[in-house]
Amino acid sequence: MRMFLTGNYAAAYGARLARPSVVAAYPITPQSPIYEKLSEWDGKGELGARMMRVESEHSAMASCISASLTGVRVFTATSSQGLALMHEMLHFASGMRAPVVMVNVNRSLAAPWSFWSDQMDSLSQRDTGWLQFYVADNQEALDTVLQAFRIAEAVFLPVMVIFEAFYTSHFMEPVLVPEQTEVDAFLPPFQPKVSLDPKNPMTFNQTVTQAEYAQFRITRAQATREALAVVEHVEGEFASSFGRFYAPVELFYVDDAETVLVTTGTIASTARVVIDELRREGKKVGLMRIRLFRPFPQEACIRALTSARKVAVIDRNIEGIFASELKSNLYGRLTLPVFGFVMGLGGTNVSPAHIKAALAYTDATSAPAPHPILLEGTNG
Amino acid sequence: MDLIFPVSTGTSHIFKTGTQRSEYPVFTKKTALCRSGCPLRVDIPEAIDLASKGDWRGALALYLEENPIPGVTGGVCYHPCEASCNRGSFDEPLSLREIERAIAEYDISFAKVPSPKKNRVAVVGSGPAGLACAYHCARHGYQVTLFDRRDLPGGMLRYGIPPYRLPRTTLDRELTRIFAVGVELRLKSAPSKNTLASFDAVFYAPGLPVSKQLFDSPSVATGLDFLADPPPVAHERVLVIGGGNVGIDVARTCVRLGAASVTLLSPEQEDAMPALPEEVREAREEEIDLVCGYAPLRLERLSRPQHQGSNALVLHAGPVEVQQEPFRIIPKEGLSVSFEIDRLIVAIGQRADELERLSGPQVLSGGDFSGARPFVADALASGREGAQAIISFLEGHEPKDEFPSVVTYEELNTLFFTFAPRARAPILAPALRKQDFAEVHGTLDRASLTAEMDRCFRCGTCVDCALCQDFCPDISIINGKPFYTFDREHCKGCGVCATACPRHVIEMKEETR
Repeated sequence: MRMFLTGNYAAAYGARLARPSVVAAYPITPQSPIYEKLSEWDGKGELGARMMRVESEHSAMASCISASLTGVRVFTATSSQGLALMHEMLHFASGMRAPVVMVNVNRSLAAPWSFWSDQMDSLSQRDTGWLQFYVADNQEALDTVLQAFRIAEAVFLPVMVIFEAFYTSHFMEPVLVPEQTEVDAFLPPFQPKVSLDPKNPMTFNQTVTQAEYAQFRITRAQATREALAVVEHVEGEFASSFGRFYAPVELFYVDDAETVLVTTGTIASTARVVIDELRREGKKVGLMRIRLFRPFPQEACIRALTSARKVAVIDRNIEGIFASELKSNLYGRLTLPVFGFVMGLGGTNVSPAHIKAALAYTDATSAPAPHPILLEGTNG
Repeated sequence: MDLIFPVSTGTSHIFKTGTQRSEYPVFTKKTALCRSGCPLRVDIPEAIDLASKGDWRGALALYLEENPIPGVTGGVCYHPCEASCNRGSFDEPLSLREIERAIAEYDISFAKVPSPKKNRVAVVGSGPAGLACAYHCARHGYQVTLFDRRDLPGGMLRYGIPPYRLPRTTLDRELTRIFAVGVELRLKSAPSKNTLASFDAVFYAPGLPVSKQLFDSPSVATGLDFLADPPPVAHERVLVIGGGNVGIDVARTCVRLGAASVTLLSPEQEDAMPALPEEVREAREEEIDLVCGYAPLRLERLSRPQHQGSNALVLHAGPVEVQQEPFRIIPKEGLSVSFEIDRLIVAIGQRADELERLSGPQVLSGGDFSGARPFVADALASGREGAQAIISFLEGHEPKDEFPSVVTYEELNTLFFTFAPRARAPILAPALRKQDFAEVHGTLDRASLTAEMDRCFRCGTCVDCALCQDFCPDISIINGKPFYTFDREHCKGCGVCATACPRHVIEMKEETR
């Protein structure tokens, strides 16, 4: 069914269609409408899941992990400070191999207080062992939530689906909401390897020896690497079920591009317009949108950038993390200058003019500066 | 099994986390504020808990433990329990008086008759204080003789409280609870000192039978004499002096007897009248004129009565201020007012009768006579105290009155309670009340009673809600009677149970091992 939905509601529809058994969450701007929509369905008896209204995000994640370990599908959503509060539990989720699916709406972290789009909250959780998808629009938000359950339950790792405060969470777009039967065919019920059951008491996650710890960590890291192939497989199946194709990296005019712009999320949507315009002017520019951040799609990036001469990366986070990740993944494989730009912080607007300026700077400069170029934005 | 995270088929039971404990939970019954507010110390929450589980007899037995006539207090008590009810800080206090009344009506059973003892006790006066003393002495096994100078037992319950507040059928039903435990009643009897000297102990509760008078005139009655045997007042203009409960009772009785008009003159302002606010409100509903802040100056006979054959009077009253402790009525500047009336009734208080009393350590007294607060519940409490003193005198041991710590509102966890309106008993419409002496207040119906009992927090009483078990992170709360206990090997002493407990049954104590 075609509906006019915000990104939050699209994600909520995705979550409901996935038929979770437990939703444990705590409201926080700008994620709250997801929580509210699920609560509304719960109130009407249409959710089909047990809704747990907990007292904090830490408890939300603790509840999700416990519920998941009983062998059921679970969903949650958060933002910013809420995600930061979950930090300890995020490590538990991946260490316990709980296939929890969580939407994080990127919102600036305090201080100072702010509510707008900024990637620092989810990027701060880069090393917690979660898979991370950065999505660009409302349809992709719904679709990625469905894919996330398939992927999480195949590799027994938690998955974070990330989109941006307000630009995605609150803007409405036409969204195709699939039928329940279609989703059921794509996403079979969760099959746990082992589950908690009061009738058969067991201890999960007891203290282990040094060697056992190392072994479990390595096993988990391998699962993360293997997840890349699983993601590609699930994306293929999704495309044949629903006719919409997503890849770990989205490529736009990259084949013959001399300068490739690399970015994420809604900035990529704006960048497509810019690339179109510059192509009409005869400039050999292309766009690579990084959609999957963990595991990092190293080979796909190298393949895409093989013929490029320069790369410009736009980060909506003060540390320039996408640029630095890309550089470390190219190191020793491809030799080309990577120009880092930080803009759009705190939800400031990244306009076509900003993107053009970044590309012009890249064209005109032979070697990148030691640090990313920082751009103060204007209110969006 | 292909392990992706550590799994053990052992359970965490082997971890004796109890060694980490620096505090431990203590489960004890505590005293509810309603109970500490009740002069009779009835264990109200426990009684409500029993009644709401259908054990009406058990609930009534808890009332009868402290109070022989719950059906009377359930109708006329000034319910200080409700004033202290913790629920009052949440939404509205419980209708505890209505609950007591309903419990007394739903089961007419008696306290157990004990094995008799040899001691003989005389009680003089069968008002609430004497009745309570006789009852508690008889329940202890003593042979009790109850003397009363009047024709029927009950004292002020029968001769002071009008039947529209306490129907005589209710009073008689409740009195059977006392005589059923074995009390010998001697009516129309004023025992001599010699008679009383043959008893092992004597309890005087003769009340204050002599009314204070303001005017030396045969046409001016006093409140208690009027209530004991009301004369016809139909079509008369009546004025009552006195802002206490007796004054209100007289005024409302006159309304029911068909008086043409009833005026009540109170030296106190309305909000300071000694009468209960509920009574004052109902008096107003019955169109009694309240004239507050005035005291009588003089009374004169009207020279030219407007109504032929009547003995019309004129009462002149002036504005006053009332000072408490010591009680003084002070005239103040202002215009005086005059009332042309047919009948004046003075209800300004009572005093004791001249009485030759036995003396000695075995002689005690109680009720209004010895300065108890002039309410039924306080008189009953005074009678029970007398009985306890007699028991302790005759048997040489001190009575045990143990009230574990009182639960305050701040100590409750009210998150598990939801707002609900207070039940209100049915009440007769004012127009219907004037026709006869039918009881003004009714009994809560079953549905309202159940809903009202559900509102009770049961402060300090464990109701087996199991929230402590639900919230214990160490699965260390163990079912037990009468209280839960905890698993010493695993309880870490986190105190979550004590915080979660809605009723403050659980408290943390320092571990001193």
